[in-house]
Amino acid sequence: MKQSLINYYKKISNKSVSLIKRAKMTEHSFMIIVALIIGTLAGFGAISIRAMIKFVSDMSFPGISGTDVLLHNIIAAPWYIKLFVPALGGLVVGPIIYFFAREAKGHGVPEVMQAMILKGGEIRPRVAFVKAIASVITIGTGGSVGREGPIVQIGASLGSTIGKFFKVSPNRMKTFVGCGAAAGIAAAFNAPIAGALFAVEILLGDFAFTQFSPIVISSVMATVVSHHFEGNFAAFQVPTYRLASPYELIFYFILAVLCAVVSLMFIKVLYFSEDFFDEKLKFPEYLKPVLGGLLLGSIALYYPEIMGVGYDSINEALQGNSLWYFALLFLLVKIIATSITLGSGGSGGIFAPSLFLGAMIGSAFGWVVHFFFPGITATPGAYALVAMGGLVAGTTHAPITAIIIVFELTNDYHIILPLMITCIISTLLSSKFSRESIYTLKLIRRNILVKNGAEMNLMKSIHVKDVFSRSVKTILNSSNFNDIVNDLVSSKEPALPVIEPKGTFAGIISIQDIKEYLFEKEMLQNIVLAGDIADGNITPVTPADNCQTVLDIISSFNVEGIPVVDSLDSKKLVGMIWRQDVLNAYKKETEKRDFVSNFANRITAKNIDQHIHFMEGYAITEIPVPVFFVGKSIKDLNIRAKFGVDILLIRINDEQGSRIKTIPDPNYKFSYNDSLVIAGEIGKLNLLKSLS
Amino acid sequence: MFFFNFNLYISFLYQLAIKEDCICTLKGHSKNGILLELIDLIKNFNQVNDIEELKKNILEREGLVSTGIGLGVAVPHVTIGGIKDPVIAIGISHEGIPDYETIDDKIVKIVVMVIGDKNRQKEYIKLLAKTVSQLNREDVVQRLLSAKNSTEIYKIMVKKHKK
Repeated sequence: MKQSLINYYKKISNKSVSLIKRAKMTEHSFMIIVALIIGTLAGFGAISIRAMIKFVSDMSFPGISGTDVLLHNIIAAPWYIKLFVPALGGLVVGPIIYFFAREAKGHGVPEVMQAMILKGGEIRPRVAFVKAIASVITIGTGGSVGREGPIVQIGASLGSTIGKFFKVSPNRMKTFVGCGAAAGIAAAFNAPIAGALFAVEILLGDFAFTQFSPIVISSVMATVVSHHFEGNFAAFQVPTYRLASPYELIFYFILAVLCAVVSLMFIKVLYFSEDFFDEKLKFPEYLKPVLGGLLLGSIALYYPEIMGVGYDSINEALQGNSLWYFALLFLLVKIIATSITLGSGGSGGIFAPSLFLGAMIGSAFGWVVHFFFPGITATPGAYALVAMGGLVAGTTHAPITAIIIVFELTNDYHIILPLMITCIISTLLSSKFSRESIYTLKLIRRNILVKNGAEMNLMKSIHVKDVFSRSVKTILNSSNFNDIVNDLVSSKEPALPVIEPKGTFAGIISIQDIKEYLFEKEMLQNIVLAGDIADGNITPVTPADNCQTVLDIISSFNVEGIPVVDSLDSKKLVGMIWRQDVLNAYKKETEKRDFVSNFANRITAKNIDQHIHFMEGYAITEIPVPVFFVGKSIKDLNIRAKFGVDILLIRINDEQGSRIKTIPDPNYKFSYNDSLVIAGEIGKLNLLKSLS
Repeated sequence: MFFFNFNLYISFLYQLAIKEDCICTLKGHSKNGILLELIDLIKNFNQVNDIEELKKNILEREGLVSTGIGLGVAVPHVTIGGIKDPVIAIGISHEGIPDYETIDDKIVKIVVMVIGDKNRQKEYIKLLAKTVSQLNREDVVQRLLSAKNSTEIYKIMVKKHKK
C-alpha cells in the first residue's frame, strides 16, 4: 500500500516536471506560479493551526467564565486544571516528538535555518505534521509559547515539499522555503510586508537576494487566504498611537535600553533552561515535557496570565490596563515559564513571548513616565506597543522585521519614528552583548555556524594553498620612498608585501598608506625606507590555513589581502591571498556543488562518452570501473584522497538491467560491469581513465 | 574625530616630543658612539621601556641605509613597541662625525633621533617628515650650530620657519 502510494507520487511528480519543461516557462513565471501555490497552502496551514489551538484550548479550559476570552477561562478554571492540564499536554507531546520527528522540538525557526544551511532547504514533510500536532497540544494545554514559530516551520516545510515535488535546484529550494516561512508570518499577523522581510532578514540573511518577488507573492497570497476566512482580524487590539511631544523621543531611547536588557535576560534564561533539561536532568527524554508541564502548572496557580500565547494579556497592556508592578512581575514570570516550556521539550515559538515581554516592559515604563511627566508623554499603551517591536528586535536581531510588524499592526505612520529608535538601538545593544540572536545561538550550540548567510563550513573547507596568488611583486625593505611609489603605482594590486633580503616577510604597504604621505614626498624621499612604512602588525597565514581564517584577518585589519608565509616561525613569504581570491573560490565551490547536485538529478540512462566541462579545468565523465577497484569499496580505496575525484553516480549493469545509484554508499563494493560517473580536475580524470 | 586636523596634531606632537633636557653636545666622534650617547640620553626619560630593543633597532636600521640627509644633518629613526608618545633627541657635534654616511658628503654635525610607536605608523612617518622639513634649510642648520645652549637650540627647533 505504502509502496504503491510512493510510486503514484513519483509518477505525478515526474509528469509535472515534464509538463513544466514542455510548457517552456521562463524561470520567473515558474517561480511565481509555485510561490502562489505555497502562499495559498501556507495560508490555510496558518488558519488551521489557529483553529486547532482554539479547539484544544477550549477543551482544556472550558468556558466557565461565560466569556469568549481564553484568559478569563484560564483564570476561572479550578486549581487542578491549571496544575495538571499542562502536564497532560506534555505527556502527549513528549512521545510524539521523540518517536516521530525530533526536529519538531524547540521553537521552529532555528530548525528551518539549519535545514537551509546544511540540507539546501530540504525539510521532511512529516515535520510539518508532527510540529503542527505538538505545537497545537503544547499551546492548547497552556504551554507558555508562541504559535508563530511553528507556523513558520510548517510553512517552510510545505515550501520544501513542493520544491521537492518539482525537483528544483538547491537555490530555488531555498527560495521556496523562504516563501513558505514568509507566508506563515504573513498569515499569523495579517502582515504581508513583515512576512516577506522576516524571510529575507532572518532566514536568507541577505537583502541582496535576487528572488524577492516570489517571497512577496507568497506572503501576499497567505494574507489574502487568512483575510478571506478570518476577516480583517487584528492580531491585537491596538490603541490609537500618539506621540504627545517631540521630547517624548528621549524616553524611547531609555525604552530601547530596557528592551535590550530584557532581551538579553530572556536569551540567557532560555538557554540556561535548555542546558538544564538537556544535560543536568537525568530523566527519560520523552517524559521531560510532563515535568515541564507540572512546573508550569504550579506557576500558573499564582499567575495564570502567563499561560498560552498570552495575546489576551498583551491586549490588556496595550489598553493601558496593567499596573506597572504587575507588568514587571509578569515579565519575570513569563521569562521563566517560556524557558521551562521550551527547555523541557515543548513545542512552540519565542515570537509571541517576545511580544508579551515587550508589552509588559513597555507598559511598566510607560506607566512610570506618564505618572511623572503626564504633559509630554502618551499613555502606557503606546510604550507597550513600541516596546513589543523593541523586544522582538532585541531577541531576533532583526530590526527591520520588528519595525514592519508593529507598523503593520497599527497601520499608523506616526509610530514609525519612536519605533525605529527603539528597535534599532535595542538590536545594537543586544547584539553588542550577545553576538548571536536567540535563533542563531541555537545553531552555534549545535556547531553549525552562520555568518551573514554565507556558510562558514564551506569557507573552512577551502584551503589557502588552493587559492593564493604565488607570483606577487615584492618590495625590498631597503627600497627608498620613490621606488615604493613607483612599484605601487605600476602594480595591479592595491598593496604589496615588503620583504627582507632573505625573503622573510616584514610588512605590507598599501596604496592607501602611500597616498597619505605623497604631500611630504620631498621630505621623505631620502629618509624613509620600505621597512619604515611597512605595516608589520598584520598576521600572515600559512598555506595550510583555511579561508575562514583569512576572511577573519582581512576584516579585522580592514585590508584587501594578507601575506602567505611557509611557516609562522620562519615567516618566509610565498605569496599573497587577496579578498577576491577567497570570494572567487567560494563562488566556484558553491557553483560546483549546485552543478553536481543538479547534474545528478538530471542524468538519464544515456552514457556519457566525453568529458562535460562545467568550469575552467573541471569536468564530469563516465568511465568503466578500473579493474583493481573490483571487489573493493569506495571507503577502502579512499578514492577522493588518492585520486582527487568525486564519484557522483555508480551505474550498475547486471541481470536486472542498468540501474543508477545516485548517492553512492561508501561501503558499496564495485563489480566488473559497473561504470562510474566522476567529477574533478581534467588531469586527474584522465589519469583514472587511463587506469580503467 | 570631527573637525580633526591631522597636520595641526602632528605639529603639536612634534613640539611635545622635543624636550630641552633631551638636547646635548656630543662627545664621541664615531657614528655608533654618538648613537649610543643619544640613546643614553633618552634612557633618562623613562619613556622607552626596552632600551636594548631600541639599540638593536637603531643599529639595524642604520645598517640598511644610512640616515644622513645632507647639509650636515642626520635623522636616525625607528619605531618600537610600548612607548606612550614619540621622542626626539638632539645632539650637536662641532667637530663632526666623519663616518656618518650622507647623500651630499658634508660631515654630519647635527643628529636628531626620532622614535615612534610601532602601532602608530602614520603618525610616526608624518612626524619624521615634519622633522626633516625643519632641518633641510641651510640657515636653520647654521643657527643650530652657532647656538650657545640647549634653550636656544630648543627655540630654533620648535619655531616655524618661513619658506
